[in-house]
Amino acid sequence: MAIESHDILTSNTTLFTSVGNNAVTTIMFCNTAAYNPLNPTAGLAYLDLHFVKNLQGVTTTNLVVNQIPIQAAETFTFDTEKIILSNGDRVIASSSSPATLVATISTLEV
Amino acid sequence: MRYLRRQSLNRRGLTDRSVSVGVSGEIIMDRPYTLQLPIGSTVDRSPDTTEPTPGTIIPGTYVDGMIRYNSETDEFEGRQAGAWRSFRFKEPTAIVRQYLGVGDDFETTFGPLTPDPFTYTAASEVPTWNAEQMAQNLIVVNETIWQIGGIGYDFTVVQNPSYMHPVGTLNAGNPYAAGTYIKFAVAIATARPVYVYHNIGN
Repeated sequence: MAIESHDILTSNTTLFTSVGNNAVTTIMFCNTAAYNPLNPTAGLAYLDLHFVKNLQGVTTTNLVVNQIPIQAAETFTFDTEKIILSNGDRVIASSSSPATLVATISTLEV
Repeated sequence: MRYLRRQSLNRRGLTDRSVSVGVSGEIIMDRPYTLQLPIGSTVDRSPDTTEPTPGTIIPGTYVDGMIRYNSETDEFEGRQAGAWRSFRFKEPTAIVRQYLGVGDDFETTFGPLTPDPFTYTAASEVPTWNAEQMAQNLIVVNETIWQIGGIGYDFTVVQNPSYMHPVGTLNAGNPYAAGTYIKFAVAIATARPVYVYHNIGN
């Protein structure tokens, strides 16, 4: 599958589970909250992102993005780093409240 | 990793917002330190140039809203309504007392005023800087009597009077020197001194 899109919850949300070997080419995170220029921090959400090896759990050890602030209406891209996933490896994200983040992940089977 | 909408000067510091452009284009300086303005002499301002294309800003073209520090005058200055103006601080401006001579029962016009209120740049909150407003900004004392300025009151302000000194005065029939004058509604009594106080309320 080329892309998958998910709402990111305040709990761990699986964005992608690799079937076979896949390369993650890009992940784009968008804060869907409306931007208020009079209150720029309104709708601010913090993102955690994990790359979790097959059969392992979500821990700080596999944390790769730690509490990145994403302002309302902002888009954050994870596009420079290329990650290879083997069978069963997962990409997992979580958001602070409000859970207004969504993610689109693009993968390529290798 | 990068943000798409927020732009930072520090491309490696993802959360560095010391100087950045926010998602709606606002400029953010998110540090408690200082902002160093451009410093230069008056001639360091590049000359006015005409925009060949509307909306095109040529380097050196003055645009309202510019600010800088003038090292020649040691003043902060900004471009406002098409002119460079120095910033005013909260310190009071010195009041200038000007003696305009004494009355003679005939003369109604005293001056010229120094400083000339017509040379002032009107503050933005003053809608019209005209003779009527100038008269209201001046404190004029006839001996010990405060004179109220304005049309229909004790005195008005006139620039380059077109009439002559009245009969009965030393200069009767002669024109007034160029300048701005106080014109009283009635002649000032003999030997009564006239004083004007400038810069009241500045």
